[in-house]
Amino acid sequence: MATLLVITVLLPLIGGLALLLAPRLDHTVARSVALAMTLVTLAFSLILTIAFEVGSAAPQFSTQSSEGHYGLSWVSVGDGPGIRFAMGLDGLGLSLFTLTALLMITAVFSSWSSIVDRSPTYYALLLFLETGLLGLFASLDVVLFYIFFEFTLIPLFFLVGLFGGPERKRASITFFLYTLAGSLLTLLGVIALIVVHYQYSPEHVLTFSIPELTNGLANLPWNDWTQTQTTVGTEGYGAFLLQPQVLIFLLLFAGFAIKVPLFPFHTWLPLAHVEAPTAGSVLLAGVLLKVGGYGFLRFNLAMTPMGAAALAPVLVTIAVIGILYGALTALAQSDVKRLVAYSSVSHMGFIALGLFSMTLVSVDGAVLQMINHGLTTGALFACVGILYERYHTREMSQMGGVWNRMPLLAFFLILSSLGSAAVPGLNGFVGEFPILVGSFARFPAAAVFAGFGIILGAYYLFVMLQRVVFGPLREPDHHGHAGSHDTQVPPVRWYEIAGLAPLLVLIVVIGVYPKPFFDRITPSVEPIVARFPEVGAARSEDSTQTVSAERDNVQPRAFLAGPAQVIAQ
Amino acid sequence: MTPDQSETLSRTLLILLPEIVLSISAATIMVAGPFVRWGRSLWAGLSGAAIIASLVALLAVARYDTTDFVYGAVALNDALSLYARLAFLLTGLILLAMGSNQIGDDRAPEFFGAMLFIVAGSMLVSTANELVFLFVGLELISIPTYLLLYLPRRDRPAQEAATKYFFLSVFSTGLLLFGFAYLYGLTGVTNLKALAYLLHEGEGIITSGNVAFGLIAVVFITAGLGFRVAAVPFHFYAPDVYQGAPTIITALLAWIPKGIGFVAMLRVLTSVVSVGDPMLAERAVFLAWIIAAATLVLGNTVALVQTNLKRLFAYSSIAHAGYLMIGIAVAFATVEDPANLGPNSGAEGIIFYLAAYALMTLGAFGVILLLEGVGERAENIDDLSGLARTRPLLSLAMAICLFSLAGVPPLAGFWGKFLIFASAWNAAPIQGIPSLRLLALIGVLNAAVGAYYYLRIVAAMYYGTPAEASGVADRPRPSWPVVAAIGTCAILSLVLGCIPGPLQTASRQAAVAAIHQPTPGRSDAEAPESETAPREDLAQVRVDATP
Repeated sequence: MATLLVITVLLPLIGGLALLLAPRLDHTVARSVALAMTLVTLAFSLILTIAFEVGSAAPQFSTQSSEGHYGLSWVSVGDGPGIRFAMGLDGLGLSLFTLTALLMITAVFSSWSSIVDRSPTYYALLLFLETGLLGLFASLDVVLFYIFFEFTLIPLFFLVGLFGGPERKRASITFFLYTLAGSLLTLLGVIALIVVHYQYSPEHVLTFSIPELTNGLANLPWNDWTQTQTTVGTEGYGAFLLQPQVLIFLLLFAGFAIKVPLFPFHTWLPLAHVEAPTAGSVLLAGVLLKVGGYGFLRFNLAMTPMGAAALAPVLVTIAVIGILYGALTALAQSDVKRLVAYSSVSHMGFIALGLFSMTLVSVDGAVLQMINHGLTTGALFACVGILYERYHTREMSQMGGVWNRMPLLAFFLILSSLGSAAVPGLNGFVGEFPILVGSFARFPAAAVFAGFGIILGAYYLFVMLQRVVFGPLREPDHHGHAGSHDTQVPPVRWYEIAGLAPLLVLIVVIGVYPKPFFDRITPSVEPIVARFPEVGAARSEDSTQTVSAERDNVQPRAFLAGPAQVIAQ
Repeated sequence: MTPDQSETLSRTLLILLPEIVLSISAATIMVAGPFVRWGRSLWAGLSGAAIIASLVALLAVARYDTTDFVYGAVALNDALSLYARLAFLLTGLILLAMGSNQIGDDRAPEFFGAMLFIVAGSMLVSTANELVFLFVGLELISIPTYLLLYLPRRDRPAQEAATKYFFLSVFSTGLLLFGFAYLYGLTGVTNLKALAYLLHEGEGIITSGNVAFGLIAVVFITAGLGFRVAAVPFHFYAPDVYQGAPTIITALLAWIPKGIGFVAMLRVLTSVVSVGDPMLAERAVFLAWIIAAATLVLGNTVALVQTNLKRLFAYSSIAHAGYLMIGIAVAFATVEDPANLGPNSGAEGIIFYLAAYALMTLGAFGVILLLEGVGERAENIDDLSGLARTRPLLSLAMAICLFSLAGVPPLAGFWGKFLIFASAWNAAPIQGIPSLRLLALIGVLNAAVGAYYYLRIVAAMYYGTPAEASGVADRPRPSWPVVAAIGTCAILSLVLGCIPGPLQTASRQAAVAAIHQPTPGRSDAEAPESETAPREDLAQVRVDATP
């Protein structure tokens, strides 16, 4: 199984190289090769999903050396295990790993007819991106993680820059520089984690392994590390921010916050999403934004929990600002793709809120919401891509009554919008509800404001549906020649259905029966949540509203885990 | 047992065999030039053969160990010397391939001879264990460089570049000698290992009274070598000289003096100062801190507004000197025990970075050279517009080199930056000077800024439209050595990025060797490791070092 994991990660890379180096291919051949590669990758990742042992928190499908280090030696640094080529999946990684493999199918299908020029390059870049993303979620070594993390930038840079819209050059450079600047700071944070572990762990081990670092840092016998002031003391802000956990948290945070993106760092996103080709948007929104959330959970929350606790009020505040700001901005858009892009800012705010509320329920919900958002937004972008291909515009004022023209597309659009708007019975609800429940326990005000975000989310999505799907048929007049409209708008093709159908099925399945997903996520989340500092005395009276008399006997986390179980069953 | 003088001499000559082969070939080529009329390809082939002969000689003598007479030898054959000599020979071969069609037949012998002398000089500096010997090596690089600057093209910009370089180079040589004199005055020896040993073991060599002398030595040597690596404030010649010089010489200037400057710094400064008294080491760290920060900020910000490619690469090379100076700052920090270097040292990062830098910079200049060679303009960024459509493989190679320069994984440039930043973060904090972690932060932010101007070139190549649609059939074919050189640079940048292990291990060994201090031997062959009083050892060192 360990070999299968490595093969799954590297297969798209090999396919991409073959496409790139092969002599001039027709676009039909190129897309078939890409589809075959992504299908095989998906099949392998499904095998891994089935073989995954539910209920265990340790990484699976990884090899271990005789000394108990994961993976194979890659670069020897110091006397320790060194930087290792270590791959493995826990529940968290597995969910996003399979999501990536699934969304790649949608990405290939949504480029099926739209990419003709230079298509071998295009599909090669898509496959490179897939390797980057799969490798990132499967890495058990911080340096390996970072390499995949940054490697994703190169194919995406060219995907947006070569195949994007009119502003593609600016969009690709902005996107690349923005994320590079953040992730270089993250690199420094990662180095800092390694150095702290090396200098203060009892055996002075220089390790780069994510599980070893997570465990080691949790048991570090260093006072400055374990006793982080959660409030700004008399020493002022300088001393507060220079506490090791807070400082490293902020360094790590820089890269992931830009990736997510959280509110003040989101400015690259609308540009990149709108200019990217459909497949680029699907992957950007579906998977790349999740990399930020994944990084928060793996590094920020798991390795510097005290820093996260100290900064939680600030983080929750900007998450809520992001939710409301994204929703209000989405409301003001007339371009459908831009609307979906801003809705991502809003929904990613929910995920950040869930993560930084630091309760088991909210973190659980946030992880599930990452998958949900990948599915719904991926489907929405794919629908918008189908619309754009037919009308060559994304202005809502120029279209309407799509139901009359393409009922199937209208159905897809409605279903994914409802999923995105967190309608009960669909996936958005089972993700956002635990987030609100969990965050209410610690930050009631934030949860209330975030609740308005859900209402706004339903509002802008329904407005969009009303203008695009319902009402009398209205199509852009500059399109096509007079009198031949009916033959100009082709019906929904088989490949468009094939790209969207798996996502829509999952949207319904997760909404109705999320238990299998929670079963795989929760065991991986629990050890991370267990390292969080207990909710401070200052906040205990806030949470009494939800706590019964048994509070003294029951751990707050265990108590709060209740709603998740309710939803799971 | 310590060898006697004649044996030391014969063994030193043996380890210098590669340089001797190279210098004799160079001299022969230059002398024979006026008497025979051969084409430039033949001269280039001969020079290539000389480099390969030298490579064979280097590999043959690689196993001769010099540990037992380091305190008396002028040249060392340790891991650093092997690594650096290999690097300079291989990059010399790449430069030779790129330059093979850059010169008229009439001046070819002088041109290639001068190049061989430069490579020989770089190798001498890498082996040097003696202040004077190192100085000779540096001059063996400088003098042919003056010649090369003026030889291929005799117009006004080249003239200006040559004059500027000449005067500033002579000035910096003066500064360097001044620093050497103080270093000698402080200890009374010129042997570098002996200097390091005296500073480490000799009690009271550096006292609060004479720490100023040590500081003067450090400042002036840093200044002299800072000119070669184009570090602020000794950088200002670089843009003009790079722009004015013929492209092949620009490529040479962007790599050889920088590589050699940092190897010399490792030999003369960090290996000597870091094992010595903390008083001196801490001040040296501070000096390197300021230079690194200034170089990084200036190089990267000014490069942002450049449109001329060679000028842009000049500022980019200044910026890279800044990253390498971070490594120097870390390497200056006090090392308690020379036998135990800690998990990652600044020297290790520098040595790795230099190899990566050589590949990516030479690759980028190779692309410019190739385009000039086939008669296309490659002066401004816009001239590369749409290159990906007309020459996809060439632009792919250029893109790899540029992403490597920007430090994006999985390319060699990333590992260089990673090792240097990791070493800076790992360094112990020093009271009274800004933290090296702050320097790492400055470096990281500058790396993000720096990515912008490399991306501009990539964006021009891939997103721009070609100026004129020239037919594929009628354009001249580039010469194969240039293509091979670019291919080697790009492929090695990628391969070393994916498999950095061997190079990292080699850099590690080189860094350990640079600072290694063998126990001084005794002439009477009795128990060299026994507990002898430091004073006795010291006397022995002095005897060994001043034959």
